[in-house]
Amino acid sequence: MEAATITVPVLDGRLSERLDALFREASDKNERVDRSYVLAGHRVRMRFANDTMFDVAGRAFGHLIGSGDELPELTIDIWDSASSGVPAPPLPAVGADAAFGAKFYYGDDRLQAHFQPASGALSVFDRERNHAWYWFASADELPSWERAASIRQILHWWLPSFGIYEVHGGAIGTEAGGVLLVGRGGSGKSTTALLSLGVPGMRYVADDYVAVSVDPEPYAHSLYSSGKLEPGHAERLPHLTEAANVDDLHVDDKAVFYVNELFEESIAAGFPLRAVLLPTIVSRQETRLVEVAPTLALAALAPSTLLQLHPPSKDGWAAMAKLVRCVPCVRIELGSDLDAIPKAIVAYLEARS
Amino acid sequence: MHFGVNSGQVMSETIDGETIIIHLGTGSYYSLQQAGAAIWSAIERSADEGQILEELLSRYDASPVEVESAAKALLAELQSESLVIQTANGSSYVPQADATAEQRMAFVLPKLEKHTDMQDIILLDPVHEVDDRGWPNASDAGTA
Repeated sequence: MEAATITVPVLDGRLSERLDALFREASDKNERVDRSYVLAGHRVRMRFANDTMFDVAGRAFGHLIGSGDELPELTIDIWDSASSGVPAPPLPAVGADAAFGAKFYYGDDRLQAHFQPASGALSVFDRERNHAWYWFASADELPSWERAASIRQILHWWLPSFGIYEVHGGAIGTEAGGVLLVGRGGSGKSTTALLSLGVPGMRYVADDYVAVSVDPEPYAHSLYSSGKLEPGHAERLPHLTEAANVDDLHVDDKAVFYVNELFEESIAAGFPLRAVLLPTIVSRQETRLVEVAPTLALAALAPSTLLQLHPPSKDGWAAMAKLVRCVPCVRIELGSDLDAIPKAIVAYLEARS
Repeated sequence: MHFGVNSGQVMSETIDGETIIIHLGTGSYYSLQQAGAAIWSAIERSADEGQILEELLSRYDASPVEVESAAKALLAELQSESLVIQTANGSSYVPQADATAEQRMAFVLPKLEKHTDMQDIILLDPVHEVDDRGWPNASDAGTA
Protein backbone atom coordinates (compact mmCIF):
# COMPACT_ATOMS: atom_id res chain seq x y z
CA MET A 1 0.00 0.00 0.00
CA GLU A 2 1.38 3.38 -0.96
CA ALA A 3 1.66 6.20 1.50
CA ALA A 4 0.69 9.46 -0.12
CA THR A 5 0.68 13.03 1.07
CA ILE A 6 -2.25 14.71 -0.50
CA THR A 7 -2.79 18.37 -1.23
CA VAL A 8 -5.67 19.72 0.80
CA PRO A 9 -7.17 23.09 1.53
CA VAL A 10 -6.16 24.37 4.94
CA LEU A 11 -9.01 23.92 7.36
CA ASP A 12 -9.68 26.21 10.25
CA GLY A 13 -11.01 23.40 12.39
CA ARG A 14 -11.09 19.68 12.75
CA LEU A 15 -12.76 17.61 10.09
CA SER A 16 -15.57 16.50 12.42
CA GLU A 17 -16.68 20.08 13.03
CA ARG A 18 -16.48 20.84 9.31
CA LEU A 19 -18.67 17.85 8.49
CA ASP A 20 -21.11 18.82 11.23
CA ALA A 21 -21.46 22.24 9.64
CA LEU A 22 -21.98 20.83 6.14
CA PHE A 23 -24.61 18.37 7.29
CA ARG A 24 -26.34 21.08 9.32
CA GLU A 25 -26.49 23.21 6.18
CA ALA A 26 -27.81 20.23 4.16
CA SER A 27 -30.49 19.58 6.79
CA ASP A 28 -31.52 23.24 6.95
CA LYS A 29 -31.98 23.36 3.20
CA ASN A 30 -33.98 20.11 3.06
CA GLU A 31 -36.41 18.03 5.10
CA ARG A 32 -34.28 15.75 7.23
CA VAL A 33 -35.37 12.12 7.75
CA ASP A 34 -34.24 10.45 10.98
CA ARG A 35 -34.43 6.71 11.52
CA SER A 36 -33.37 4.45 14.38
CA TYR A 37 -32.04 0.98 13.72
CA VAL A 38 -30.59 -1.94 15.64
CA LEU A 39 -27.54 -3.25 13.81
CA ALA A 40 -25.96 -6.40 15.26
CA GLY A 41 -27.71 -5.68 18.55
CA HIS A 42 -26.55 -2.06 18.78
CA ARG A 43 -28.52 1.15 18.40
CA VAL A 44 -27.73 3.32 15.41
CA ARG A 45 -29.41 6.60 14.50
CA MET A 46 -29.16 7.53 10.83
CA ARG A 47 -29.98 11.09 9.83
CA PHE A 48 -30.69 11.47 6.12
CA ALA A 49 -30.57 15.01 4.74
CA ASN A 50 -33.65 14.34 2.61
CA ASP A 51 -35.91 11.64 1.15
CA THR A 52 -33.48 11.02 -1.69
CA MET A 53 -30.75 10.10 0.76
CA PHE A 54 -33.08 7.76 2.59
CA ASP A 55 -34.04 6.11 -0.68
CA VAL A 56 -30.41 5.62 -1.69
CA ALA A 57 -28.84 4.66 1.63
CA GLY A 58 -31.61 3.84 4.09
CA ARG A 59 -33.82 1.25 2.44
CA ALA A 60 -31.24 -1.50 2.96
CA PHE A 61 -31.82 -1.25 6.71
CA GLY A 62 -35.62 -1.46 6.58
CA HIS A 63 -35.59 -4.86 8.33
CA LEU A 64 -33.64 -3.51 11.31
CA ILE A 65 -35.88 -0.69 12.50
CA GLY A 66 -35.38 0.22 16.18
CA SER A 67 -37.70 1.96 18.56
CA GLY A 68 -35.49 5.01 19.00
CA ASP A 69 -36.53 5.14 22.67
CA GLU A 70 -32.95 5.03 23.89
CA LEU A 71 -29.97 7.14 22.98
CA PRO A 72 -28.11 5.79 19.98
CA GLU A 73 -24.70 4.19 20.33
CA LEU A 74 -23.73 5.59 16.93
CA THR A 75 -25.11 8.47 14.88
CA ILE A 76 -24.50 8.63 11.14
CA ASP A 77 -25.23 11.72 9.04
CA ILE A 78 -25.88 11.02 5.36
CA TRP A 79 -26.08 13.57 2.56
CA ASP A 80 -24.96 14.38 -0.94
CA SER A 81 -24.12 17.63 -2.67
CA ALA A 82 -26.33 17.32 -5.75
CA SER A 83 -29.69 17.04 -3.99
CA SER A 84 -28.86 18.89 -0.79
CA GLY A 85 -27.25 21.87 -2.46
CA VAL A 86 -24.24 22.09 -0.15
CA PRO A 87 -20.61 22.02 -1.26
CA ALA A 88 -18.44 18.94 -1.00
CA PRO A 89 -16.41 18.30 2.14
CA PRO A 90 -12.59 18.37 2.00
CA LEU A 91 -11.46 15.58 -0.29
CA PRO A 92 -8.02 14.36 -1.32
CA ALA A 93 -6.73 15.60 -4.66
CA VAL A 94 -6.72 12.66 -7.05
CA GLY A 95 -3.96 12.53 -9.63
CA ALA A 96 -4.78 11.81 -13.27
CA ASP A 97 -2.74 8.61 -13.06
CA ALA A 98 -4.63 7.22 -10.07
CA ALA A 99 -6.07 3.74 -10.54
CA PHE A 100 -9.81 3.69 -11.23
CA GLY A 101 -10.64 2.06 -7.91
CA ALA A 102 -8.02 3.90 -5.84
CA LYS A 103 -8.96 4.50 -2.23
CA PHE A 104 -7.65 7.12 0.17
CA TYR A 105 -7.51 6.31 3.86
CA TYR A 106 -6.60 8.27 6.97
CA GLY A 107 -6.58 6.87 10.49
CA ASP A 108 -5.50 8.07 13.94
CA ASP A 109 -6.61 7.32 17.49
CA ARG A 110 -9.77 9.34 17.07
CA LEU A 111 -10.60 9.72 13.40
CA GLN A 112 -10.86 7.39 10.42
CA ALA A 113 -11.66 8.55 6.90
CA HIS A 114 -12.01 6.74 3.60
CA PHE A 115 -12.67 8.15 0.13
CA GLN A 116 -12.98 6.27 -3.14
CA PRO A 117 -13.27 8.55 -6.19
CA ALA A 118 -14.81 5.74 -8.29
CA SER A 119 -17.82 5.61 -6.00
CA GLY A 120 -17.56 9.23 -4.94
CA ALA A 121 -18.32 8.15 -1.38
CA LEU A 122 -16.64 9.62 1.69
CA SER A 123 -16.89 7.80 5.03
CA VAL A 124 -15.67 9.36 8.26
CA PHE A 125 -15.86 8.01 11.83
CA ASP A 126 -15.06 9.97 15.00
CA ARG A 127 -14.73 7.33 17.73
CA GLU A 128 -14.48 9.90 20.49
CA ARG A 129 -17.95 11.16 19.67
CA ASN A 130 -19.41 7.90 18.28
CA HIS A 131 -20.45 9.93 15.27
CA ALA A 132 -19.97 9.22 11.60
CA TRP A 133 -20.62 10.89 8.29
CA TYR A 134 -21.34 9.41 4.88
CA TRP A 135 -21.28 11.79 1.93
CA PHE A 136 -21.30 11.35 -1.81
CA ALA A 137 -21.42 13.77 -4.71
CA SER A 138 -24.71 12.66 -6.28
CA ALA A 139 -27.24 9.91 -5.70
CA ASP A 140 -27.52 9.38 -9.46
CA GLU A 141 -23.81 8.65 -9.71
CA LEU A 142 -23.59 6.33 -6.70
CA PRO A 143 -22.75 2.89 -8.10
CA SER A 144 -24.71 -0.23 -7.21
CA TRP A 145 -22.02 -1.63 -4.96
CA GLU A 146 -22.26 1.48 -2.73
CA ARG A 147 -26.07 1.50 -2.71
CA ALA A 148 -26.19 -2.16 -1.75
CA ALA A 149 -23.72 -1.80 1.11
CA SER A 150 -23.38 1.86 2.06
CA ILE A 151 -21.58 2.80 5.31
CA ARG A 152 -19.74 -0.54 5.22
CA GLN A 153 -16.46 1.19 6.01
CA ILE A 154 -18.03 2.95 9.01
CA LEU A 155 -19.43 -0.33 10.33
CA HIS A 156 -16.04 -1.99 9.74
CA TRP A 157 -14.47 0.63 12.04
CA TRP A 158 -17.23 0.73 14.68
CA LEU A 159 -18.44 -2.87 15.19
CA PRO A 160 -15.14 -4.43 16.38
CA SER A 161 -15.43 -2.58 19.69
CA PHE A 162 -18.25 -5.06 20.39
CA GLY A 163 -16.37 -8.12 19.13
CA ILE A 164 -18.36 -8.07 15.90
CA TYR A 165 -16.67 -8.09 12.51
CA GLU A 166 -17.95 -7.28 9.05
CA VAL A 167 -16.96 -9.98 6.58
CA HIS A 168 -17.37 -10.56 2.86
CA GLY A 169 -19.89 -13.33 2.60
CA GLY A 170 -23.53 -14.29 2.29
CA ALA A 171 -25.68 -15.90 4.97
CA ILE A 172 -28.81 -18.00 4.55
CA GLY A 173 -30.52 -20.65 6.60
CA THR A 174 -33.58 -21.16 8.75
CA GLU A 175 -34.76 -19.55 11.97
CA ALA A 176 -32.79 -22.17 13.91
CA GLY A 177 -29.50 -21.39 12.23
CA GLY A 178 -27.72 -20.85 8.99
CA VAL A 179 -24.56 -20.98 6.97
CA LEU A 180 -21.98 -18.42 5.95
CA LEU A 181 -21.39 -18.50 2.19
CA VAL A 182 -17.83 -17.63 1.23
CA GLY A 183 -15.88 -17.51 -2.00
CA ARG A 184 -14.72 -15.28 -4.76
CA GLY A 185 -16.87 -13.79 -7.45
CA GLY A 186 -18.26 -16.39 -9.82
CA SER A 187 -18.26 -19.15 -7.24
CA GLY A 188 -22.05 -19.17 -7.00
CA LYS A 189 -22.16 -17.48 -3.61
CA SER A 190 -24.67 -14.78 -4.55
CA THR A 191 -26.84 -17.09 -6.62
CA THR A 192 -27.00 -19.54 -3.71
CA ALA A 193 -28.04 -16.74 -1.36
CA LEU A 194 -30.72 -15.49 -3.74
CA LEU A 195 -32.10 -18.99 -4.29
CA SER A 196 -33.28 -18.96 -0.69
CA LEU A 197 -35.70 -16.11 -1.31
CA GLY A 198 -39.33 -17.14 -1.18
CA VAL A 199 -38.52 -20.70 -0.11
CA PRO A 200 -40.82 -21.54 2.81
CA GLY A 201 -38.91 -21.75 6.08
CA MET A 202 -35.69 -20.26 4.71
CA ARG A 203 -34.17 -17.06 6.00
CA TYR A 204 -31.91 -14.58 4.20
CA VAL A 205 -29.46 -12.58 6.28
CA ALA A 206 -26.95 -11.38 3.71
CA ASP A 207 -25.80 -11.50 0.13
CA ASP A 208 -22.40 -9.80 0.15
CA TYR A 209 -21.49 -8.33 3.55
CA VAL A 210 -22.52 -9.65 6.95
CA ALA A 211 -21.44 -9.04 10.54
CA VAL A 212 -20.10 -12.06 12.39
CA SER A 213 -19.36 -12.65 16.06
CA VAL A 214 -17.83 -15.82 17.48
CA ASP A 215 -18.40 -15.38 21.21
CA PRO A 216 -20.32 -16.83 22.96
CA GLU A 217 -21.28 -18.74 19.81
CA PRO A 218 -20.83 -18.09 16.09
CA TYR A 219 -23.57 -15.74 14.93
CA ALA A 220 -24.41 -13.90 11.71
CA HIS A 221 -25.93 -10.44 12.10
CA SER A 222 -27.71 -8.93 9.12
CA LEU A 223 -26.56 -5.49 8.05
CA TYR A 224 -28.12 -4.99 4.62
CA SER A 225 -31.31 -6.37 3.18
CA SER A 226 -30.05 -5.60 -0.30
CA GLY A 227 -29.36 -8.10 -3.01
CA LYS A 228 -27.86 -7.52 -6.39
CA LEU A 229 -29.22 -8.91 -9.62
CA GLU A 230 -26.62 -9.64 -12.22
CA PRO A 231 -27.42 -10.12 -15.91
CA GLY A 232 -27.19 -13.91 -15.61
CA HIS A 233 -29.72 -14.03 -12.82
CA ALA A 234 -32.68 -13.29 -15.06
CA GLU A 235 -32.54 -16.77 -16.53
CA ARG A 236 -31.53 -18.61 -13.36
CA LEU A 237 -33.80 -16.74 -10.95
CA PRO A 238 -36.98 -15.81 -12.83
CA HIS A 239 -39.01 -15.56 -9.59
CA LEU A 240 -36.65 -12.86 -8.48
CA THR A 241 -36.63 -10.80 -11.63
CA GLU A 242 -40.42 -11.02 -11.73
CA ALA A 243 -40.75 -9.79 -8.16
CA ALA A 244 -38.18 -7.07 -8.65
CA ASN A 245 -39.47 -4.74 -11.33
CA VAL A 246 -36.17 -4.03 -12.98
CA ASP A 247 -37.42 -0.71 -14.30
CA ASP A 248 -37.71 0.49 -10.70
CA LEU A 249 -34.23 -0.55 -9.76
CA HIS A 250 -31.01 1.38 -9.92
CA VAL A 251 -29.03 -0.36 -12.60
CA ASP A 252 -25.48 -0.03 -13.72
CA ASP A 253 -24.05 -3.47 -14.23
CA LYS A 254 -26.15 -4.83 -11.38
CA ALA A 255 -29.65 -4.02 -10.18
CA VAL A 256 -30.09 -3.45 -6.44
CA PHE A 257 -33.26 -4.60 -4.70
CA TYR A 258 -34.27 -4.93 -1.06
CA VAL A 259 -35.30 -8.32 0.29
CA ASN A 260 -37.38 -6.85 3.11
CA GLU A 261 -39.53 -5.09 0.49
CA LEU A 262 -39.97 -7.98 -1.95
CA PHE A 263 -39.71 -11.10 0.21
CA GLU A 264 -40.66 -9.88 3.67
CA GLU A 265 -41.12 -13.41 5.00
CA SER A 266 -37.57 -14.37 4.00
CA ILE A 267 -35.50 -11.66 5.68
CA ALA A 268 -34.02 -12.22 9.15
CA ALA A 269 -31.99 -10.04 11.50
CA GLY A 270 -29.61 -12.89 12.17
CA PHE A 271 -29.13 -16.48 13.23
CA PRO A 272 -26.56 -18.78 14.83
CA LEU A 273 -23.96 -19.96 12.33
CA ARG A 274 -23.83 -23.73 11.94
CA ALA A 275 -21.37 -24.08 9.07
CA VAL A 276 -19.23 -22.24 6.56
CA LEU A 277 -20.11 -23.18 3.00
CA LEU A 278 -17.82 -22.80 0.00
CA PRO A 279 -19.94 -22.86 -3.17
CA THR A 280 -18.47 -24.24 -6.35
CA ILE A 281 -20.29 -24.84 -9.60
CA VAL A 282 -20.11 -28.38 -10.99
CA SER A 283 -21.25 -29.84 -14.28
CA ARG A 284 -23.87 -32.30 -13.07
CA GLN A 285 -27.45 -32.05 -11.91
CA GLU A 286 -27.05 -33.10 -8.29
CA THR A 287 -25.89 -30.83 -5.45
CA ARG A 288 -23.60 -32.36 -2.85
CA LEU A 289 -22.03 -31.17 0.38
CA VAL A 290 -18.51 -32.35 1.22
CA GLU A 291 -16.61 -31.42 4.37
CA VAL A 292 -13.29 -29.69 3.77
CA ALA A 293 -10.37 -28.50 5.84
CA PRO A 294 -10.92 -25.28 7.82
CA THR A 295 -7.94 -23.72 6.11
CA LEU A 296 -9.77 -23.90 2.76
CA ALA A 297 -12.67 -22.00 4.28
CA LEU A 298 -10.35 -19.42 5.82
CA ALA A 299 -8.64 -18.93 2.45
CA ALA A 300 -12.05 -18.43 0.83
CA LEU A 301 -13.29 -15.99 3.47
CA ALA A 302 -10.40 -13.95 4.78
CA PRO A 303 -8.46 -12.50 1.85
CA SER A 304 -11.42 -10.75 0.22
CA THR A 305 -12.60 -9.46 3.61
CA LEU A 306 -9.18 -8.17 4.67
CA LEU A 307 -8.46 -6.57 1.30
CA GLN A 308 -11.84 -4.91 0.71
CA LEU A 309 -12.42 -3.30 4.11
CA HIS A 310 -9.67 -0.94 5.17
CA PRO A 311 -7.59 -1.17 7.26
CA PRO A 312 -7.28 -4.94 7.46
CA SER A 313 -8.33 -6.03 10.93
CA LYS A 314 -6.07 -8.36 12.90
CA ASP A 315 -8.91 -9.02 15.33
CA GLY A 316 -11.22 -9.73 12.41
CA TRP A 317 -8.68 -12.21 11.05
CA ALA A 318 -8.52 -13.91 14.45
CA ALA A 319 -12.31 -14.08 14.59
CA MET A 320 -12.51 -15.64 11.12
CA ALA A 321 -9.87 -18.19 12.11
CA LYS A 322 -11.84 -19.01 15.26
CA LEU A 323 -15.05 -19.35 13.25
CA VAL A 324 -13.66 -21.95 10.84
CA ARG A 325 -12.38 -23.91 13.84
CA CYS A 326 -15.79 -23.77 15.59
CA VAL A 327 -18.10 -24.94 12.84
CA PRO A 328 -17.89 -27.47 10.00
CA CYS A 329 -16.50 -26.16 6.74
CA VAL A 330 -18.21 -27.62 3.72
CA ARG A 331 -17.83 -27.37 -0.01
CA ILE A 332 -21.26 -27.21 -1.60
CA GLU A 333 -21.02 -28.53 -5.13
CA LEU A 334 -23.81 -26.68 -6.92
CA GLY A 335 -25.60 -28.83 -9.47
CA SER A 336 -27.71 -27.62 -12.34
CA ASP A 337 -30.98 -28.44 -10.55
CA LEU A 338 -31.23 -25.04 -8.87
CA ASP A 339 -34.38 -25.88 -6.88
CA ALA A 340 -32.43 -28.61 -5.12
CA ILE A 341 -29.76 -26.24 -3.81
CA PRO A 342 -31.74 -24.56 -0.99
CA LYS A 343 -33.28 -27.93 -0.13
CA ALA A 344 -29.81 -29.44 0.24
CA ILE A 345 -28.76 -26.65 2.58
CA VAL A 346 -31.90 -27.00 4.71
CA ALA A 347 -31.44 -30.77 4.87
CA TYR A 348 -27.84 -30.30 5.99
CA LEU A 349 -28.88 -27.86 8.71
CA GLU A 350 -31.70 -30.10 9.91
CA ALA A 351 -29.38 -33.09 10.08
CA ARG A 352 -27.03 -31.11 12.32
CA SER A 353 -29.69 -29.63 14.60
CA MET B 1 20.59 -13.70 11.92
CA HIS B 2 17.14 -14.68 13.07
CA PHE B 3 13.99 -14.80 11.02
CA GLY B 4 10.69 -13.13 11.77
CA VAL B 5 7.31 -12.71 10.14
CA ASN B 6 6.89 -9.47 8.17
CA SER B 7 4.08 -8.67 10.58
CA GLY B 8 3.39 -5.20 9.21
CA GLN B 9 2.14 -6.71 5.96
CA VAL B 10 1.42 -10.34 6.77
CA MET B 11 -1.23 -12.23 8.72
CA SER B 12 -1.07 -15.96 9.29
CA GLU B 13 -2.90 -18.74 11.07
CA THR B 14 -2.11 -22.42 11.56
CA ILE B 15 -4.99 -24.87 11.84
CA ASP B 16 -4.50 -28.64 12.09
CA GLY B 17 -0.92 -28.44 10.88
CA GLU B 18 -1.63 -26.22 7.86
CA THR B 19 -0.64 -22.57 7.77
CA ILE B 20 -2.53 -19.93 5.80
CA ILE B 21 -0.63 -16.72 5.12
CA ILE B 22 -1.88 -13.53 3.49
CA HIS B 23 0.27 -10.65 2.28
CA LEU B 24 -1.87 -7.54 2.64
CA GLY B 25 0.30 -5.48 0.33
CA THR B 26 0.12 -7.76 -2.71
CA GLY B 27 -3.16 -9.60 -2.08
CA SER B 28 -1.44 -12.95 -2.52
CA TYR B 29 -2.20 -15.69 -0.06
CA TYR B 30 -0.28 -18.88 0.61
CA SER B 31 -0.46 -22.21 2.35
CA LEU B 32 2.20 -24.37 3.99
CA GLN B 33 1.81 -27.89 5.26
CA GLN B 34 3.80 -30.32 7.40
CA ALA B 35 7.48 -29.33 7.36
CA GLY B 36 6.61 -25.99 5.78
CA ALA B 37 4.20 -25.21 8.60
CA ALA B 38 6.83 -26.31 11.10
CA ILE B 39 9.35 -23.89 9.58
CA TRP B 40 6.79 -21.09 9.74
CA SER B 41 6.12 -21.87 13.39
CA ALA B 42 9.83 -21.60 14.13
CA ILE B 43 9.99 -18.28 12.25
CA GLU B 44 7.09 -16.99 14.35
CA ARG B 45 9.25 -17.73 17.40
CA SER B 46 12.20 -15.78 15.93
CA ALA B 47 14.37 -18.83 15.24
CA ASP B 48 17.63 -18.62 13.33
CA GLU B 49 18.52 -21.09 10.62
CA GLY B 50 20.32 -23.43 13.01
CA GLN B 51 17.36 -23.52 15.37
CA ILE B 52 14.99 -24.18 12.47
CA LEU B 53 17.11 -27.13 11.33
CA GLU B 54 17.32 -28.48 14.88
CA GLU B 55 13.55 -28.42 15.23
CA LEU B 56 13.05 -30.10 11.85
CA LEU B 57 15.56 -32.85 12.62
CA SER B 58 13.86 -33.54 15.93
CA ARG B 59 10.48 -33.78 14.26
CA TYR B 60 11.18 -35.48 10.93
CA ASP B 61 13.04 -38.61 9.96
CA ALA B 62 15.43 -37.19 7.38
CA SER B 63 19.10 -36.54 6.79
CA PRO B 64 20.58 -33.21 7.85
CA VAL B 65 21.63 -32.53 4.26
CA GLU B 66 18.12 -33.06 2.93
CA VAL B 67 16.54 -30.95 5.65
CA GLU B 68 19.06 -28.13 5.34
CA SER B 69 18.65 -27.90 1.57
CA ALA B 70 14.86 -27.86 1.79
CA ALA B 71 14.78 -25.35 4.64
CA LYS B 72 17.18 -22.97 2.91
CA ALA B 73 15.10 -23.10 -0.27
CA LEU B 74 11.88 -22.34 1.57
CA LEU B 75 13.44 -19.56 3.63
CA ALA B 76 14.72 -17.94 0.45
CA GLU B 77 11.29 -18.19 -1.12
CA LEU B 78 9.54 -16.77 1.94
CA GLN B 79 11.92 -13.81 1.89
CA SER B 80 11.51 -13.24 -1.84
CA GLU B 81 7.74 -13.13 -1.31
CA SER B 82 8.29 -10.58 1.50
CA LEU B 83 6.57 -12.83 4.00
CA VAL B 84 9.62 -13.16 6.22
CA ILE B 85 12.37 -10.75 7.25
CA GLN B 86 15.74 -11.20 8.83
CA THR B 87 16.25 -9.68 12.23
CA ALA B 88 19.08 -9.50 14.74
CA ASN B 89 16.68 -10.10 17.63
CA GLY B 90 16.38 -13.72 18.65
CA SER B 91 15.86 -13.23 22.35
CA SER B 92 12.23 -14.29 22.18
CA TYR B 93 12.96 -17.68 20.61
CA VAL B 94 11.33 -20.54 22.49
CA PRO B 95 12.16 -23.98 21.17
CA GLN B 96 9.45 -26.55 20.73
CA ALA B 97 9.73 -29.85 22.61
CA ASP B 98 11.95 -32.44 20.97
CA ALA B 99 10.28 -35.51 19.52
CA THR B 100 11.62 -38.95 20.27
CA ALA B 101 12.85 -41.11 17.42
CA GLU B 102 9.60 -43.12 17.50
CA GLN B 103 7.54 -39.97 17.03
CA ARG B 104 9.46 -38.57 14.09
CA MET B 105 7.46 -38.31 10.91
CA ALA B 106 8.39 -38.88 7.31
CA PHE B 107 9.88 -35.75 5.73
CA VAL B 108 8.01 -34.29 2.78
CA LEU B 109 9.67 -31.45 0.91
CA PRO B 110 8.02 -28.22 2.05
CA LYS B 111 6.15 -26.39 -0.69
CA LEU B 112 4.83 -22.83 -0.57
CA GLU B 113 1.51 -22.79 -2.43
CA LYS B 114 0.71 -19.34 -3.73
CA HIS B 115 -2.67 -17.98 -4.79
CA THR B 116 -2.97 -14.72 -6.68
CA ASP B 117 -6.68 -14.58 -7.47
CA MET B 118 -7.16 -11.69 -5.01
CA GLN B 119 -4.39 -9.55 -6.47
CA ASP B 120 -6.88 -7.66 -8.61
CA ILE B 121 -8.29 -6.06 -5.49
CA ILE B 122 -4.94 -4.43 -4.84
CA LEU B 123 -4.15 -3.62 -8.45
CA LEU B 124 -7.55 -2.15 -9.35
CA ASP B 125 -8.39 -0.64 -5.96
CA PRO B 126 -5.06 0.35 -4.39
CA VAL B 127 -5.22 2.05 -1.01
CA HIS B 128 -3.30 5.27 -0.48
CA GLU B 129 -2.63 5.77 3.21
CA VAL B 130 -2.42 9.43 4.03
CA ASP B 131 -0.11 10.68 6.75
CA ASP B 132 -0.97 13.37 9.26
CA ARG B 133 0.45 16.15 7.12
CA GLY B 134 -2.26 15.71 4.56
CA TRP B 135 -5.97 15.00 4.09
CA PRO B 136 -8.23 15.16 5.91
CA ASN B 137 -6.81 17.27 8.73
CA ALA B 138 -5.60 20.83 8.73
CA SER B 139 -2.09 21.17 7.40
CA ASP B 140 0.14 23.97 8.69
CA ALA B 141 2.12 23.68 5.49
CA GLY B 142 -1.05 23.92 3.44
CA THR B 143 0.08 21.80 0.54
CA ALA B 144 2.22 18.74 -0.01
